[in-house]
Amino acid sequence: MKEKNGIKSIIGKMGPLVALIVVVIGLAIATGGKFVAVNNLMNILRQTPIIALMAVGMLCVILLGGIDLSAGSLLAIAICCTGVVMKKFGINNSFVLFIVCIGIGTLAGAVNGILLTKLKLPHPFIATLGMKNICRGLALLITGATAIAGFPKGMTFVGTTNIGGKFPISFVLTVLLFVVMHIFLTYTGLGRKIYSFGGNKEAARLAGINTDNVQIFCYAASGFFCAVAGIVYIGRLNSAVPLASLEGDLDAIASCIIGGASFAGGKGNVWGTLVGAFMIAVIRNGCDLLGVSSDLQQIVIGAVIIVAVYIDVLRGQMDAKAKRLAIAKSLETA
Amino acid sequence: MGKLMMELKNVTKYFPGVVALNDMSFQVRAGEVHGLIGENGAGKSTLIKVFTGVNQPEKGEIFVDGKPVTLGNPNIAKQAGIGCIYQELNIVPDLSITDNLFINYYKKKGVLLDYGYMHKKAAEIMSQLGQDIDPKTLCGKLGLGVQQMVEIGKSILSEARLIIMDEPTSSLSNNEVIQLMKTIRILKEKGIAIVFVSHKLEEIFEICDCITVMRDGQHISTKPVEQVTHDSLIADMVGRSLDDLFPKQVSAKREEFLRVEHLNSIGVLKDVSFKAYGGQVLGFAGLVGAGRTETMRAIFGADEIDGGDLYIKGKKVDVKQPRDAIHNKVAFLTEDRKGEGLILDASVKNNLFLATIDKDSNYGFLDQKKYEAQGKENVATYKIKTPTLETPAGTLSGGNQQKVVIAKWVNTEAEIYIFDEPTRGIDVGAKIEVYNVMNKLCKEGKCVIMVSSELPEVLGMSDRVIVMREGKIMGEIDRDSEHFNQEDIMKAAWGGKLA
Repeated sequence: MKEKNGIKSIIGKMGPLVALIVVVIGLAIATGGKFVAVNNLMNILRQTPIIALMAVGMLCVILLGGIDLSAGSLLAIAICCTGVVMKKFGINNSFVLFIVCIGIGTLAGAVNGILLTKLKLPHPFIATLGMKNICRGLALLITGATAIAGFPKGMTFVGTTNIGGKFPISFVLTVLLFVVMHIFLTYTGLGRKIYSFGGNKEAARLAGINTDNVQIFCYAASGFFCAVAGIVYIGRLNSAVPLASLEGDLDAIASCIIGGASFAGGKGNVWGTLVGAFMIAVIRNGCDLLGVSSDLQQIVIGAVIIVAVYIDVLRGQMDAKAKRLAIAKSLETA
Repeated sequence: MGKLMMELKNVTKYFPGVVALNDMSFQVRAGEVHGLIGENGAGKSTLIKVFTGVNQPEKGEIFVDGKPVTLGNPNIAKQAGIGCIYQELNIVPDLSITDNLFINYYKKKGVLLDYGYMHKKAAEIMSQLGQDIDPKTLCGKLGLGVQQMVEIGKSILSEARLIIMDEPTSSLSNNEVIQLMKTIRILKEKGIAIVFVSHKLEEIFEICDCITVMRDGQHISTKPVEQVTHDSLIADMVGRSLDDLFPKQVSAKREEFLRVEHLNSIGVLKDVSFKAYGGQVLGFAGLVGAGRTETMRAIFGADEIDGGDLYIKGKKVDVKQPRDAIHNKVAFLTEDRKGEGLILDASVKNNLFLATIDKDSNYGFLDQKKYEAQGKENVATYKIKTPTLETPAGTLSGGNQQKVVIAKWVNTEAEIYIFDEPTRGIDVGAKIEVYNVMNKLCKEGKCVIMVSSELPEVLGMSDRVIVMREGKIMGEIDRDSEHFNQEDIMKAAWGGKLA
């Protein structure tokens, strides 16, 4: 009985993965196998990291019951600052540029958290909407609205290098960071505090958890991952573009939601989020192969979000019903 | 005797982990006021939800006017003539009485709302209920009593023939209760049946024609009011003798653990000063809104205050946030268990160690082995009935949830325990277990402060009682004082002087 429940719950958790597999098979058939050709699969692995990295940062925020609308702008400000530091100050040391990028991203993310907790802005929507505009504007301002190219090898390494000439190292980095985040969220005290805050803010505060710091941390983490995604971005385009990742925040949010994270907070995990990010990358890629226009792609992704959450709702209802029936049965036999 | 209006026959309803209704039968006749009583968790709420179509029973039959029906959803129940006034009122404060009454039933003239008709009808309904009031008044401006009348008005508007009132007097003042009783009599004369659910036996005796007692989801007795007594009802409800209810053990009084001086919070607390000692239960009595919870929240750093000093074991401490208080070994069991005490979706285990995350971490990593071991120990010590440590806390019964919260605080190794309404909404068996925890803490020399609105509980468990009224301390009564009785405490709570 217990084992059966275990399997069931695993299948339940695998829901998004099953959906992803179905979509992959569907696209493979629709494209006559072109989709699953090794080269294309590697392309997908190249396209996923930016979405996935932003999504795992976003997950921290969504677990709080919050939202970070500024993620795309955070990526832009992080890479543009890096570009400006390189061009204007003539710094070509990759390590320094790397630190600047991560530092700016994390700091800007932390500002979101500080606005929310210290200024007591009523909802993260407001703080991050403000920062979305400020950061995007700043990115355009400091770059004069033009792309900055000519990054040193060290900066483009992550975005360009392939293992064995094919397998993108950016994807290896992504999986590595996801493992770290999984361990962090599941096995550390701070991770526990994030889930606790998302589950019940007041109970967490009254249990002595420093809820302000937990929130600031999560928004900073979102900024951090935007900056990491930015480094991949610099590599892929070999330039810092102020209008980079215009809809990155929404893709990140969608990845979390498709992956089963609850908007109310307290529920969700990194693997679902990774699957969610794949789902978006796979659909985009598949649509490109099929020659579907970008407006249609947008419609498809919108529908996927709604369907994914609806399936989640149905599954929740079925679980609740199955639980009731099982209990009724066990009581009757008793 | 009126004709049979509604009948439940052998209804059984399961929830995860409990049989909420077990072969329950219940009959209501037109024009009768039918009292429904039972301990918390006896199944009253579920019975109400079956009536109102919110829950569907797994077994059994429901008859309305002798005809079998399936109350598949709340709308069907409404059409069958069943209305319900829930404990939590469903009033939109920013809308007028008319808008609240006609919510969902807007009367239209063409495409526009016919406010002329609706205002007139609303005024008529409210005056039927004994409330001559302008229907354009915003509901937020009304007292709770009148808001409740608006709720009753909704049932009248939908032509309900059976109105269920779930603890209708719980948040009403005395005058409002009198008004409600009048209204119930008016409804009764119109042939409307009332199911009156209450914890207050005085009210049951005053208004009901017959009384049904439930226990453990089962029907225990239904008798006309003339045939029952206070004691017989309690015996039916509890199934055990009253002497066992408060197993107080007096422990040796120790040194001063907590001293509060001149606590002030504008408009809430006025110059609150008191001391609490180890080995003792200090009870806080008073009416709802007397400032007891606010005092405790101030001590715990949960709310900001405007002034006052706190001394723990003689040392002045600065408490600005809950974690400062926890650091000073203060624990606070809040009155709102679900809203402030537990993370309902999180597992029992995670709730047990919610307040000790930092203490249980090695270099930031949680000590899972300790969690398992201590979690199992907690479950055994506090008799927490849960299938596993991984079960979501929200699926446990109220009493077991409360035990999880208590264990969470004991795990912090606190020395001062503030229990705010620790037995609210839990059944008698669990209550006794909570009292035993308090005894145990006192025996270990810890200090317990208990806020309770139930006087028998305050008297039954406290070594000393402080009575508050309107944010001020009215008096202090020792267990061996002649004033240590219900009447004198009530007197002080209502502003009287202790002789």
